[in-house]
Amino acid sequence: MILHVDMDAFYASVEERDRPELAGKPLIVGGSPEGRGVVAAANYAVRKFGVHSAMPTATALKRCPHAIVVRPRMDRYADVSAAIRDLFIKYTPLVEPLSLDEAFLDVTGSEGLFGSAVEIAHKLKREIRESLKLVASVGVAPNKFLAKIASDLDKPDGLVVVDPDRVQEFLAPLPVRRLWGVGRVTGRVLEQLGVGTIGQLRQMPLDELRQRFGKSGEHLWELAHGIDDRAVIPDHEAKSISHETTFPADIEDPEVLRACLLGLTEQVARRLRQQSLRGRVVQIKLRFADFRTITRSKKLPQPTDSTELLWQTASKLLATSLTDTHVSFRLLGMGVSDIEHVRLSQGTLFDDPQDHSQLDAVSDTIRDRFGTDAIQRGSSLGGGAGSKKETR
Amino acid sequence: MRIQCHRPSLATAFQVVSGVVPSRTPREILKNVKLQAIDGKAVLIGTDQEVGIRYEIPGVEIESPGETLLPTNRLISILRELQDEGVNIEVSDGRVMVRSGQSEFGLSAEDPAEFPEVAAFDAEQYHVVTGEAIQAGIRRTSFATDVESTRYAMGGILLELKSDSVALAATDSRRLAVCHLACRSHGIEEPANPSPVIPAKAMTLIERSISDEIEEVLIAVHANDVLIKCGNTTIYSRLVEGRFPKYADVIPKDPKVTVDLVVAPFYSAVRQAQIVTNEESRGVDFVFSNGLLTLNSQAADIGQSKVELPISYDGDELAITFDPRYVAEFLRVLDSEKPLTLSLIDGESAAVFRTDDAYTYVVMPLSRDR
Repeated sequence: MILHVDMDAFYASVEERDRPELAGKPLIVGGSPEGRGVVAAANYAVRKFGVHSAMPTATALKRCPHAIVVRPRMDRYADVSAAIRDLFIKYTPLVEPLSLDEAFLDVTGSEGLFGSAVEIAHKLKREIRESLKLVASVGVAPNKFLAKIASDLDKPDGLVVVDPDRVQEFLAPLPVRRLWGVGRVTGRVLEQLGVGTIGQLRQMPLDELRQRFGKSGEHLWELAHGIDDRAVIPDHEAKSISHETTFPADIEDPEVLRACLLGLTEQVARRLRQQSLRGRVVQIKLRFADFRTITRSKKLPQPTDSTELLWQTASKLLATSLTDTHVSFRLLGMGVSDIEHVRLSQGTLFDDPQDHSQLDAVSDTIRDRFGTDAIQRGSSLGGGAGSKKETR
Repeated sequence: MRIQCHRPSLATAFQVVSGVVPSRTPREILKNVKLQAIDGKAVLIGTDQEVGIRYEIPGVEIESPGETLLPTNRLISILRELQDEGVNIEVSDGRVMVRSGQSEFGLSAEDPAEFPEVAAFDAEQYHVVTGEAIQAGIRRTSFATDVESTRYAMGGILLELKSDSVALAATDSRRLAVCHLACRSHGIEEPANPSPVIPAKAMTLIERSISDEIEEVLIAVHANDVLIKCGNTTIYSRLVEGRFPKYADVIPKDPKVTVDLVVAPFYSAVRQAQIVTNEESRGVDFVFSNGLLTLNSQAADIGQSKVELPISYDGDELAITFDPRYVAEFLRVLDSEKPLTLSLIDGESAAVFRTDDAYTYVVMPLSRDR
């Protein structure tokens, strides 16, 4: 059985926990409203006002003028994320992080030791609440796709179990847009065909889906039948490590995309270093508003785990991809592949001004030992250099 | 223009000049070579605008002078397939006619005036080295360059020119190759640029242009470019911009241990040790103990190897880990029966190899800590 653990309003919850005076108040984690900052995360108190992530902070403050805005502290969230993962690996080594706040766990081999998958899910939720003072929603299902849908159904603080013998019953009433790969465009086409729920989609023959949607039609057919064979792949066995973000609203501003890419790059680089891995191929992924998806990659002369080197390459790839203005995007991803395990490192004769490995190592150590607040990057989501933590 | 050529000589000329012709370029005209037949000499010219070459073709009879552009790859194919010894090239009505035996090719040609100039060697001030010495010097350094480097001028070979000697140095910052040659200078009082960095591509072209009959190579360095004359071939190159690292500082001054070795058995041991390495575990441990050098390597999923070599060493055991490729690349350019020395400080510091003919090679080891 697979668990999908999704932390509820993760960045905002960490801030509320670290600063009790914020708890329960409408809270936005994001960039400054004076600049072109956007909302990175919103707690449940502010979501009631219609605030959601990737919305410009200025718009969010119009909807909820008394909201408190704090600057994101990605390093802090990465630390908390690492602590959550330490809880996971007590139950199974098969942990596949999707981002800082979600992960898949394959607990099939752990059930004999720790009880059923559902019991493990309860224990994890309790441990996350007691030791980290955070709330998670968990989906328990026979595969990744179902577990991910399940974790999202009863947020926050949800625990939804998909019985392997009742998968069809579980899926049938859900709207088709719950399926991966079905967004506005595919959703509209399906609605025109009178298909609104996954149950209705299942009635469509494979051939017809293939005709209408090509290769992704087959994928839709499989998902509608609850089929998903992908294994949970832990980082240290991964051939690649990547993170991606789907924006709730399409994004056009190149600066916002850059800031978002930097956040993704930092997460990927930190995961590489945690696992003593280095990657050689840097890739970015962009999905346009019309669902066209492009990937751009570059092979580096040497494998690296340096945030700075990965960022230089990723930001160049982004810049060359954003040739047309006024194009908006719904998804951004960053990944590293051609990964090798670090055993030996080649010494160098001359100092490399671009070599930040010591900086990375030192800042990782500081964060591991003391938490994060002293070590932060000058730029972050939507906030320009020099912008400080802000409260309103 | 109308000329009569010796086909094998013309084919050789095309082979040499095509070394600079870019296969991909935004300027299509650069995919051509220019054939110039004036003043009783036929010269084939190619350039990618960084590096250019002028090659004087021997055995050409100029019936009427002139110049034309020729599509490089097409001409190479034609010259390869023709059977007769003689080839006639004629330009008429904007077309190039290539005739040989029973065959005739008519090719459209672009305007030779559009082709960028490649300077001829007319310098009064230059350095002179023997062809043999510079050829060896280039072979001994060019493999250590790093054309991808963006921070230092490592994409070429540094020449440090003095009135009676020249040092060649190349590095990719993981290893450094330096060799010294004798030279003489001609007409130089105050050198315009005593330490140019010449692109690896141009240096390789020079190395290939030197044949046995070429005794002397003339090198004229200017502020931003260099002209080199090897016999009837002239090579023009822009210099690599940027700063070459201060290489002399990283050559270990007083190593603790020096071991005498002979190229062939040492190279053989390194090549054997290299077999059981892979991308993930490239390292080979070089362990120096009493009378014995042991090369240990192991790689997950492959296995391990141990190769022993008797050496004259009686100090404390000393171990250092190298990427064997960096050692093998150095040994490959040496004569197999020659002696060399390897000097070490410890397992973490740069190691230095030296030959008895003023060639120094420094390698940084692999380290385990991080």
